[in-house]
Amino acid sequence: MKLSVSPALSKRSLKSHSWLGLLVSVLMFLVCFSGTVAVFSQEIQRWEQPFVYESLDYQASTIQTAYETLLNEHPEQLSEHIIIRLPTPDLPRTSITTDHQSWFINEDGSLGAIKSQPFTDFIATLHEALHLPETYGVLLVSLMGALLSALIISGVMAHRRIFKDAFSFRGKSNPQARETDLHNRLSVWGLPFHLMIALTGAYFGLASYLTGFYSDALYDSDPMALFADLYGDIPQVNEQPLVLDIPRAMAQLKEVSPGTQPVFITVEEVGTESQYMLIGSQHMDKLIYSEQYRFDASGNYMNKVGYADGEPGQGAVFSVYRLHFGHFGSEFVKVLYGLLGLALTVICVSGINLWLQKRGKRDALTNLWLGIVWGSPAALAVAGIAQIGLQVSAIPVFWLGVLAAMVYAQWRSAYAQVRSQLIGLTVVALVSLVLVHLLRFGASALEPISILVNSCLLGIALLLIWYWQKTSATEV
Amino acid sequence: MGLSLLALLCTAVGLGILYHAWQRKIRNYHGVALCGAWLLVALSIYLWSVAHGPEFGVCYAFITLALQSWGLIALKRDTRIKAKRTPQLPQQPLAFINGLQALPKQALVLITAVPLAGASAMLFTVVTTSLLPWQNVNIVALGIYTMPVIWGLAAYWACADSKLWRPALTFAIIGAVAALIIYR
Repeated sequence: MKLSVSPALSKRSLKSHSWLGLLVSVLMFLVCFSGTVAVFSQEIQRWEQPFVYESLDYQASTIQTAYETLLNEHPEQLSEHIIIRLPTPDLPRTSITTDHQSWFINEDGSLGAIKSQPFTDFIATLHEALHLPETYGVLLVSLMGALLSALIISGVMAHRRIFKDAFSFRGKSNPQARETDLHNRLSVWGLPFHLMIALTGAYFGLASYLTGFYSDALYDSDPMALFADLYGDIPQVNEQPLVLDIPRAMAQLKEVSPGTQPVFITVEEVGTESQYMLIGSQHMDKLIYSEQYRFDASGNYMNKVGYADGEPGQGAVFSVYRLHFGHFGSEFVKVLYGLLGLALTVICVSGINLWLQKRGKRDALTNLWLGIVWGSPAALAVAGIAQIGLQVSAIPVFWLGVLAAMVYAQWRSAYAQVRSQLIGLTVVALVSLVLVHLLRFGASALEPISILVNSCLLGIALLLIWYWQKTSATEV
Repeated sequence: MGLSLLALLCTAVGLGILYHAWQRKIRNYHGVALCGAWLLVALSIYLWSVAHGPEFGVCYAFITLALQSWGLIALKRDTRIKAKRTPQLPQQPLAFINGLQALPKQALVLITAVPLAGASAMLFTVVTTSLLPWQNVNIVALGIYTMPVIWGLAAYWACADSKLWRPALTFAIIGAVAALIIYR
């Protein structure tokens, strides 16, 4: 039995694949590239504020002290919600956040440094919304998820020798053959991961539209009934004390759900007689972000939502975040996600490179694409220098940097030279970023997490030098 | 740890057999070899699941399958030098006018593949999944995970078909019928 699509269908599929690829090219590249970096957002966050007290050990009484300090000393900062983030192995810091301000919590429960992570936020918002207004940006990025699944389908249908060529890689051949093999080999074997990224990525912005239709079809146009089914209904409590008893709730959590890892406490309806607590606790054998345990203000256990052992649909929906970002298992999983994310970025770049090469000419499109692909890493590193070293917003620096790279690539119109220069600029910017970090934070830059991130930045710079040497030798 | 290593080994052996079978280096019992290779890959999923639970296990299995296969491809890459230097392609001005002339047709493809296919995929997903005899919450979750694939299929068709009116009309009819069913 021979499993293969007909030449005609393959040709039409390739046409579809090219069209869709060109449609999403720049945006998909930026989403994949920023997503690869965003996998390490927790490490970048720690690197960005390296002086913060870190420990996995904490007392519930310390959390209570921090909460009461917030109530007494910063009443003007209170909002409807308070979120207390508890320390976890990948982010061993405790913080307390209102809608207006966020503080780290010191060892003794006092409020420490104000949480400020503009560079991490810059990366996160680039990935989530491309720095566009949230409503449109998140929708646009989620659309990339749906179109990525279209690209996967059309790519498989276009590939007539999917099995026969599954392991072939003409590493020393001409650029077109090399790019073709790179594109196809990375795509085919990474398919399950890429499909998962597409489906979970589409969720963030498109689920609200879909649930709107489901609400009309299944819940008599009552979206709150749907949300109650999916995320749990809102507990009704009254005549609650005005100060929460967090230690009691945490002690009860240990009895209700032993062996789980509490990751956050959310206080709802803050300061009212109907306030209550949610404690999110991770189950070590589940992909759900956490099960949510509800407690009244006195710390008495009320119920849980049921993500962990309720209907499978609830668990599936609440697993989207960790599945998409690789925040599960050990730190090693993040490294693997980083590699797979990089592969998806390379697939995106090689796909457009192939289309450009097949035209048999170079024009402004070739130059502008070069500027975007190799200008983005350089612009990201320069944006990091601006943010960390000068406290200048990274967002305009990044976009102006990408724009400058595009204009420069078109002005010079010399592919190999411009690529070498942009790689060189990225290397210099990465090394400078490490130096700027060391200069700004002094002894704090010698914390293990800072050493790790700075070493990785220098490692990437070395890899880029190796790549530059390897590729420049084969190009005129 | 032991089960994880065994799973890695199963994947490695399975991929090795697939490599030899697809490169036609196994001439006898080709089909048996292919079946055995896929069974080993399936066994690795099972072993990962036993070691880390089914949710993490399946993730680890697919991640390691990708990375191990890329490792094998890198090991077995063709290193015969065929092109020492890459000649530059000729530089030409951007064919701006041609691009502008093609714009109306491409805009129609865009409208069909993105908003029309998307709306139709959402409505179709809602109507078909709602027929399942499941709890509502499970229907919604299934829809959330399948809708992007249905949209992807629709977008693929819209861009592949030489007659754009066929997918456009189909999506319009499916969307209208599904909307009628939901809002009747």
